[in-house]
Formats: sequence, C-alpha cells, structure tokens
Amino acid sequence: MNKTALFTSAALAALLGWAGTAAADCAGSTFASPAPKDVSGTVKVVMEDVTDTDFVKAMIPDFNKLYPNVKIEIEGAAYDVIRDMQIASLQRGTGTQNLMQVDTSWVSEYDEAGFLEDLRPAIACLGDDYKYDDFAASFRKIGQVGEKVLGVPFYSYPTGFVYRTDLWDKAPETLDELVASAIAKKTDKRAGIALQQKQGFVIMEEWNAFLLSSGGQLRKEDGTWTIDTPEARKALEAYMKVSKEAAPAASLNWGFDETIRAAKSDQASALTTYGWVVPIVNGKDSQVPDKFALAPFPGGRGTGGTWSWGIPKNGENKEAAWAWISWITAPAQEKVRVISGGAPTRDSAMMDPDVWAKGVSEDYYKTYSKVAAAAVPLCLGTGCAEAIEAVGVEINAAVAGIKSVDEALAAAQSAAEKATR
Amino acid sequence: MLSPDVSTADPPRVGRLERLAGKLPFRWWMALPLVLLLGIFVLYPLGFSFYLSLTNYKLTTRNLGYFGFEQYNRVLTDGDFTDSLKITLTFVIAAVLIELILGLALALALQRQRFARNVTRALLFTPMFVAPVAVGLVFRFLLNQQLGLIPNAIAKLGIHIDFFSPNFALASMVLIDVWQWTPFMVLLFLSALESLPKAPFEAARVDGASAWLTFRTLTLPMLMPVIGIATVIRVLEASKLFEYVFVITNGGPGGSTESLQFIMYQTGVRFFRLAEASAMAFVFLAVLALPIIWMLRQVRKAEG
Repeated sequence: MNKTALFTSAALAALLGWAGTAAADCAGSTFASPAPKDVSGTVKVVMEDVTDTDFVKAMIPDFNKLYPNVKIEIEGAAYDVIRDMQIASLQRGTGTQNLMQVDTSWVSEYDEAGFLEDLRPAIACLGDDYKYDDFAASFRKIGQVGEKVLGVPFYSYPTGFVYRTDLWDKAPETLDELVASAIAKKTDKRAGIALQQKQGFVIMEEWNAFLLSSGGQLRKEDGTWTIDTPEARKALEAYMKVSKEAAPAASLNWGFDETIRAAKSDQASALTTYGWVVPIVNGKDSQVPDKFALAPFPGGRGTGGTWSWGIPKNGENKEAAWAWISWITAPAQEKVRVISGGAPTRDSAMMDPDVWAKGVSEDYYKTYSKVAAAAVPLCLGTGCAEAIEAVGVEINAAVAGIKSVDEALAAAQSAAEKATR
Repeated sequence: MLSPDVSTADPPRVGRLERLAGKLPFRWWMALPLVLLLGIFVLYPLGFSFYLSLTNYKLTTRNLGYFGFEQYNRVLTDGDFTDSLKITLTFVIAAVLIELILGLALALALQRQRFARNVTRALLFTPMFVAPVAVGLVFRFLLNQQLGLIPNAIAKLGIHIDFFSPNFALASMVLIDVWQWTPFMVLLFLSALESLPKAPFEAARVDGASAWLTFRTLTLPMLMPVIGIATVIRVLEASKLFEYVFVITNGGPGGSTESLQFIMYQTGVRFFRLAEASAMAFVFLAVLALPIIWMLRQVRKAEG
C-alpha cells in the first residue's frame, strides 16, 4: 500500500469514526437517534387504564417487527397511583421504569428535579419525516420547558362540550347559554349535564374550562396565580348553578367514570369533558349510540391537556425506550392509533381524509382540531400538581356549600401561592 | 522427642470477643439482635425522619440543610393540619366507640349462641381479613348513587341519602370502618368472656341477680383490661385512616374527609414536601401519645 492510499484509508476511517460518534451522541443526545434496528432491551412503563393504552398495547406486535429485540412491558394503573409509582422509581439509583407517561402538570417539576432526559437533540436527529412541528402547538408546549423537550405528545385530552344532538339544537356558544340550556334540558329522568365534581384535580380540569370561558386563567405566563378574580367568581357561580340545577342528584363525588356511565345510560344530555370520550359514549354498549357530538367549549377555549412520553435519566436501555417513543409517535403510527379511536395529537391525523373515513367522523376530527388549537394547558410551571389539588378542594367546597364563593376563591388563591412558596 | 509440659503450659487464651462478652451481662447479649433490628428498622428511620422535619427537603430539590423548626411552625399555623386533626379525631372517637359497644353486644350474644356457632363466627370475622383498599373499593360501589345497592335499597323505603355529601361523607367512612373492624372487638371480647371464671356468675345467679346487674358489676369490671387494650389497638389503627379516603372520596367533598394520614401522604408524596410531612407526623405522634399513655395506665390500674 502506498503512502497516499494509507493516508486516504486513515482519513476515511477517522471520518467514519467521527460520523459514528456523532450519530451516537446525536448532537447532544445521550443515546443514539434514530435508534438502531438491532437495539435490544426491555422497556417498562406504567400507564393509565384508559382506551388509548389498549390501542397502544395492540400496536406492540407491529413495533416488534421493526425492533424484534425490544420488549415493551406495560403495566396498567389507576391515575391516582401513576405519579406515586413514578416518583418511587425516580428516587432510585436505577429506576424500575425506563419509560414514563407524564401528565401536563408534572412536567416542570420533573424538570426542576432533573428527572427526565431532554429529547430535543434526539428529535432533531430523526429527520424531516418525523415532523415534530406537526403536533398541535398547545400539546407540544406541554412537554416543553424552555428550550428543552421533556415529553413527546402521546394522547391529548382537551376539554370540549359533548352533547346529545337529538336533544340540543346546537351547542352553546357562551357560558351563560350553557348554564341556561343545561338547566332547561333537565328532566326527572335525565340530567341537563353530568359534571365530574370530585374534589382535587378531577373538578379542576372541568371548572378550569368554565374559568377560561369566562375570560380568566389559572396562572399567568410569568407564574402568577390569578384565581381570586372577577372572572373566576363568574366561572364558579356558573359552575355551582349547573351543579345545583342541571347535574344529577348526589353527584358531588362523581369522577370521570360516573359521568360516562350517566351519558351512556341516557341519564345526561351533555358533558363538559375530554374530547376523546365521543367515540366511547357513542359506542355499541351505549343506550344512546351515535347520539353524541363534540363542540368547542362555550367561549372557544377549553382546558388543554396531554400525556407525554418521557425518558427518565435513571432508566436503563434508553435507546430501546427511544425506539418505542419515536416509532409510536411518528405520523404513520399516530394515524393507526387515531383510526382505532385514540385521541389525536398531530394536526396531520386530525385533517387526514383517510382518518375521517376510517375513524369517528370528519366533523369530529375537524372539531377536535379546533378544540386542540384553542386549548389552554391546565397549568404549566412548578407547583402545578399541588396547586391543582389544593384549588380543587376549595372549588369543591364551594360547590358543596361548605364555603361561600368569596371564601373559596380567597382560600384557593392562598393555597396555590403556598404551593409555589 | 519433646513432649509438651502440661504443668507449665500457659493458661488458655481468652479471645477478644470472649473478653467483650464477659463485660456485658448475658441478658444484654440476648437482647442485642432485637436492639439491632429495632435500631435499623425503627430508630434510624425515626431519627432520620425527625431530622428531615428540621430541613426544607423536597423530593425535587433535595436540600438537607438545617431549617430549624420552621416546618413545625408552618404545620401548627396551617389551617389544613388542624382541620385534618379534627376530622381524624372525630373519626377515631366515633368509629372506636361504636365498634366497642357493638363488639361487646355481639360478643355477649355469641357467647350464648348454641346453634351454628363456628359458622357464625367464621362469617363474622371475615371482614377484618380483607385489605382496607379492597373494602374501600367495595363500599365505593355499594354506596354509589348510580350503581349502589344500599342507596337504591333505602330509596325504595322513601329515604334518599347521598352517602358522599358533606354531611354524610365522614359518617360513611365511620360506617365502613365499623363494618370492617367490629369483628376484631368481637374476637377479643369473646375470648375474654369465655375465659372468665364461672364461680362469681354462678353465685350471682343463685343470689337472683338480674342480667343487667351481673353485667354491670361482674362482666364489665372483669373485662376492663381487655376493653382497654382493644381500645388502644383500635385507636392506633383508626388514626391511620387513609385507604377508604384515598379510594373513595379523595378527601372530599370540600376537604371534609381529609384525614391526617391523607394530607401527610399528599404533602410528602404528591407534593414532594417530605420535610413538612415529617413535621406533621411528629406533631400527630405527640398528640396521639398523650391519650394512649393515659389509656395504658388505666389498663394497668384495672389489672390491679
């Protein structure tokens, strides 16, 4: 071998080596992106027992055709315990979960604690086909803290107005209209509206939509809590009125499940709930199938929420976890999941004629897109998880008649401030 | 060949361990394993927890720096803690009192039972072998206004009760606790009743004493030590009210079922503020210790 050939070979080898290193680091990522097809390992995640988890489980065999050496283990759990299980795992040297489903209000706190990997570099390395900007902006924002991307949208739960088309001529456009119409629709056998009034985050997700509708907002961009305000007063009075005059009797302790049961058993003419429930309340097991439609929350803005996929820093097999995240959230898989009945997160899926034809309906996805575009995340920033629970106690106390509106809002403001002291 | 000179040999060497063993009485050595276990699994966590209460430790920031008694100040001036303390004490007093009376009545009845004794007792004791979380879930559905057997059954009688309304939610928790733990009282009282000496009761019967007089002057005083112990155990257990609240009401409505254990869990685990949760635990320990010590003294007095 002459000197030139030797030099060229050495230079080529160095270049390839550098390129390999660059791919492995992926410009700042601690794991390779895209994940190599021969990546191996077990990916463990605890997920909420909801329909979207079932849709995802059904897609695992397809994932394994591409990544045969990655085993996905999904453990179902009730919402209340998911975070506890995550915290326990995150406190360990090596976590028991190496993939996490992170809820809207948890992201900032997990960031403050340095629990999660920044996925932005890895996303950047996936190339244009991945189309990260295709996720609806309000959903994308939830997984981001500053420049970091700590969670990639998995499924969304923006609040809309879900109503019986055979009982409502049209969906209400203002909060006042909602209150008046819901009361008018109440009969001896059927509630005008079924509310999830259970104390804590449950009532908060719903009441927050009333707050947005009345022009208020839980927290400003700068982190200031804005709960004891005239807008919040209007929202709480409206909520209390529908609770008293339009909701089912003795439903103060109702959560999501009870409202769905009421809707499916012809005991409620409307719900102010997550947009993705429409295919559920319209299902074959419903006493009133195909009667429900989705509309934007009166006033336009509803509570925004998304579950995001994140990778804990203390987890093993990060490349395997990333293989799963990048695959399941890619446009093609999002489309499959949405057609199955899953809650969309990508604009492309919501506006895809193929999804309209094979999924719920064109109207539904177009409305969902509007709801998503106008959704305001329930709460962003540190202290959110506590503030939501604490404010939810006070709102529930007002609805239960334990506190006056003024007392409840003052206490809620103080509780939220305490959460961020 | 040299043979060992037995008469001039050194006295047997005493090992360091044996010398150490000789310094402490034998009974201390026997207690050592238990002391070590207690130290590792009780004293160390307790001591660390107390230190945590003197810091501003959060699961997210993990700052173990000394913070003084500020957490105690927060706990004692925070309305949430005092409200929860009232709720917990109300629950404990109501539940334990009902269990005590009902348990004693059932035990007296079972003592006289002759037919199907074993079957009745086995059935009666079943609830206390079920996990409280499972009991909570069962009652969540039994008392549910939509699906519940109990609200629907009493509605047929024209009575409408919302078991999870602000006025009834805590009473519902008491009801569930009574269902689950009255059998424990029955078990203790029945064992005690069956081991009481027969002679005083025979004498009372021969003297023509009424059932009430016999109960008041013989049965009750003789049962007092067991009643005291049963009360202490149940007070301690009932003050740990958590599972029913967690699975049924989440503390609601309007905080009316927020027990101390529930807010400690929320503060420490859900809101990450372990230091404040530790301070709550120590304040509660102090509040609970006084009546428990008093009750134990009464038991000792009753035992003579």
